[in-house]
Amino acid sequence: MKKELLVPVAFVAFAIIATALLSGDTPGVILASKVQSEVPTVNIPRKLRQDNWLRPGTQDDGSCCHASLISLLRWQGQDKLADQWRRSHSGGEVTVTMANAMDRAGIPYAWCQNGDERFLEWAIRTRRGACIQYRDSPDSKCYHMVNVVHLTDKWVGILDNNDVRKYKWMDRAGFVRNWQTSMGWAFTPVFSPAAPLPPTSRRDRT
Amino acid sequence: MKPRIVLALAGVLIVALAVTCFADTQERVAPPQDQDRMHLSVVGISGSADYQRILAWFQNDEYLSSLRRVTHFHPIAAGSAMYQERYAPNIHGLPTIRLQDAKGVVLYESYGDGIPKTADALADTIEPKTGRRGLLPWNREKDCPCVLPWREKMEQQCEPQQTVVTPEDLMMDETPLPMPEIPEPEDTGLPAWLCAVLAVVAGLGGFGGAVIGSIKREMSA
Repeated sequence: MKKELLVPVAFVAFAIIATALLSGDTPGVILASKVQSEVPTVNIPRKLRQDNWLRPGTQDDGSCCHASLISLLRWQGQDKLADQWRRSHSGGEVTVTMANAMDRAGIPYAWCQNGDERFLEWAIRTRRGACIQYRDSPDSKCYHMVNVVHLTDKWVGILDNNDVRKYKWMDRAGFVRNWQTSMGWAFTPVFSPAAPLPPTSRRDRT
Repeated sequence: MKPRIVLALAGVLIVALAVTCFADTQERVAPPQDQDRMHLSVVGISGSADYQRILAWFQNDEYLSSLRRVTHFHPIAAGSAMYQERYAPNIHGLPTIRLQDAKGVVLYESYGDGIPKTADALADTIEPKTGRRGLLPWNREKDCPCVLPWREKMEQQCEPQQTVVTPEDLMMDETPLPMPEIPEPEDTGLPAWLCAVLAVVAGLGGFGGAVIGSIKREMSA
């Protein structure tokens, strides 16, 4: 092979390889295929999660409805409103009293009282989360309100205000059945949910 | 008082209570289908002049305020719990302006001295990233005459598109907003591995061709 042929062939090969290598390094390019969803979807910072508390002067009158609402208000950027709610409300609530209280406070909210699973799917799809009432066990007659923070075909992620240190994971079918036989009550304040975290796969931007 | 009257009054009272309790409440809203809405974060030290100035841009500038209304807007104070857990690990300086799509992909970000100096400059920088160039009617590109006859005919057959968006349209949360044209990740052409394979094939092909050519020439000689 003649030497003068080697030079252009090598040059062309080098140019093609260089183009291939450099084409992926454009600043600001983000590989969409690597974008992963956050788990749980409603990943409330630890300091913003509201513990359950007893109504002052009582031994067993908890404030799970208020605690659940406060956690979601903080997740949705309403810190002042949440703090104000924490100071002014406590004790157990039922559907009517809770709705009236949110009306008085001017909180926009979406509401479900028929156990419609689509409400939970919406709440997670829009990353707002939901306050829902269920029973700790199927035999229990004691209702408790918690936050739904994640939903898949098989699993439900729960933030229980009785222990906000960690999320609970429950079988979706069983959880939904429990919820539906516990009056099927759920609601969500409708403000802006916290911004998603930037994808970890992103490259440094210029 | 006669028992009938007592019963009637009790009935009226019960009905009134029931209506009060179960009347549709004022703040209840239909679940908004806004899962694709973009997120706009302005992060800064709450008392700093820079942070306040930028926040004011998003209130007063026409384009930026309209953008604020059609996105989830997050003014984030440095030091807050939200900042510490969700922003501090991934921002590069204060103040920061960050626009993300619904999945979190950053469409635009600037921080510190890299932030444009005026609201107009910021709007000019952000606007192309949002795909919302037509957000304000006077920013829409003028219709261009069709060059190709078949395309002109095709467009004539199409339904006329909505061309006017009023501020009221943008402010109505219940109305589904036109989906923003979120820019796809830049098209980098052929994947790197395919280019590398092609390069090798091209190189081998060139080399093989040269070898075959030289062999032919030697044989013919």
